[in-house]
Amino acid sequence: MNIRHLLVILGFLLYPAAGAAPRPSATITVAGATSLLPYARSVIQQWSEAHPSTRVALTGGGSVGGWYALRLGRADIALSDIPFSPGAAFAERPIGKMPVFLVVNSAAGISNLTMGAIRRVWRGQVRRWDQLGGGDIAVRLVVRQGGSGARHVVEARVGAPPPDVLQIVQLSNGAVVRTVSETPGAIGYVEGDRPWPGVVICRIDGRPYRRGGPWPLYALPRLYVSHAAGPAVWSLSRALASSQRKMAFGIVPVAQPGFGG
Amino acid sequence: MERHACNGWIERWQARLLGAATLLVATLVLTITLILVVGAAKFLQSRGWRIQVLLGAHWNPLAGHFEIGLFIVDTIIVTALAMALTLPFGLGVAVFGAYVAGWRERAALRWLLTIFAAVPSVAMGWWGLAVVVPSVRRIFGGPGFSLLAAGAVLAVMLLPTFSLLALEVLDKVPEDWHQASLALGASEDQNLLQMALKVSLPGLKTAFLSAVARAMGETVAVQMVIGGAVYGFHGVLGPGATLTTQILTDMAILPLGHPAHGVLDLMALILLVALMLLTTWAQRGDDRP
Repeated sequence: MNIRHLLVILGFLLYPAAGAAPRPSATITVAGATSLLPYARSVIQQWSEAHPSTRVALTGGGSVGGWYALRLGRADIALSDIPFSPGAAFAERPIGKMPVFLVVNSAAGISNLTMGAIRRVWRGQVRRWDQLGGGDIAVRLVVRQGGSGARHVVEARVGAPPPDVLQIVQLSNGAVVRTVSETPGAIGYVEGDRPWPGVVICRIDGRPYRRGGPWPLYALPRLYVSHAAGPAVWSLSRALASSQRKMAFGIVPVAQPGFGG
Repeated sequence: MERHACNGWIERWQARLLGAATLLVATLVLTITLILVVGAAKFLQSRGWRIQVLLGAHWNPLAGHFEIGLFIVDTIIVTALAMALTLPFGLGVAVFGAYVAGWRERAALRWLLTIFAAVPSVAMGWWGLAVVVPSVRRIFGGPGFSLLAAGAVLAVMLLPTFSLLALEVLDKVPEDWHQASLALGASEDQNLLQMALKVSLPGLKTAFLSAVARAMGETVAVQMVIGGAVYGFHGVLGPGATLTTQILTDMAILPLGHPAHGVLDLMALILLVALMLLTTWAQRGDDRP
């Protein structure tokens, strides 16, 4: 290696710093529920076009992770589908409501369950689908990991499965759907009003889901932001809370209370 | 040798840069270890240094239960399954490459194994979901997501690494030794079993332990097929969770700054210590004449 080589390497290293594109003057970090990331990504893209001087970093980490990141000052906005107590330091803003669906493998022969039957399945009192008029096949529970909003909603209504009930844990809606579609007798849950291919979406108490209508399993996604946040953070928070794009991502709008900054 | 003045100046800087890079790596390793030790110690202290944390099987972080014994057991079982499947196949491939294949076949085998070793673990996980999980379900029954599926996927991932290392080791046996062994009346099988494999044993042990280390540390592919069950032991045909898969699963609910984040440090530290011990053991085998 000689001096010429060193200069070439140095040139390559310094080239990006000498670029003509304007550099963002501020960065906002948004963290939290993975189920809200597609929606948040879409809103942030639109918001960033109107605010080119602000860079937005979007990261998952789950509802609990986002909440802790906000409390520890590592994020400016936390997305969550689990309720936290914001206290005096943080503001909470609803984003909407997302239906949680029970999805069943077609071999189970089940397309409708009562809430009572779901409770019995979750408690391990129903071990084979023929106990509920379905096929002669074992029940396999497919659940999300602790801290998932969908799990929170389902367990708040029907309780947590006892330790002796065998559960397959998956880390995303997509993984749950794939596992349920490929595992005979499997039942799981997914969040969001989107097409879920390869599985039977279960009616509950005889009712199918109608967008925005009454449904027993709704997650209530929301965002949290510090009262001490700057104007750009508040602006992005308002965009996330009130964007018209929600319906495209399976989020049903709800009335927005006043949201200061 | 006399140095040119300009080159001497550059070489001195090169030596300093290389030294600094080495120091940086050493500092990083020490810092990471220290962070894990401090985090784990704080966590254990908060639990009154109870051994139950390591031996128990009650895991429910959101309810304050942090017993990781089941994950340690599952890690050992999955690693043992993977190695039991890899060892005979890997050794067979290495022996074929070293003693049976012609030079063209050997070159093709090396190329194939090198490419195979570079397949990302997420791709192996997808393959596991598409092929291994349904196969386990079809052959043995049960949900398919299981310790056995995880062990089988890991075995396929380890096969090229172990085969390549073993092939290198077997290749190092001098040709003269083979000729001498055969000249003394040994058959091809006796030559392989009594001479070549015996003298290669320390190197094969290193290859084996390197594969074990990789098996213990693998995360994504295992997580995709193991099923993630944290309650009780369901046998090798039932779902479970290893130390690495559970760290991945619960990173979101025990983020940095969470009072119980230290349990993840403890799990990582256990893996790190196990890998350090394995590596040290492997190197001792390698140093032996």
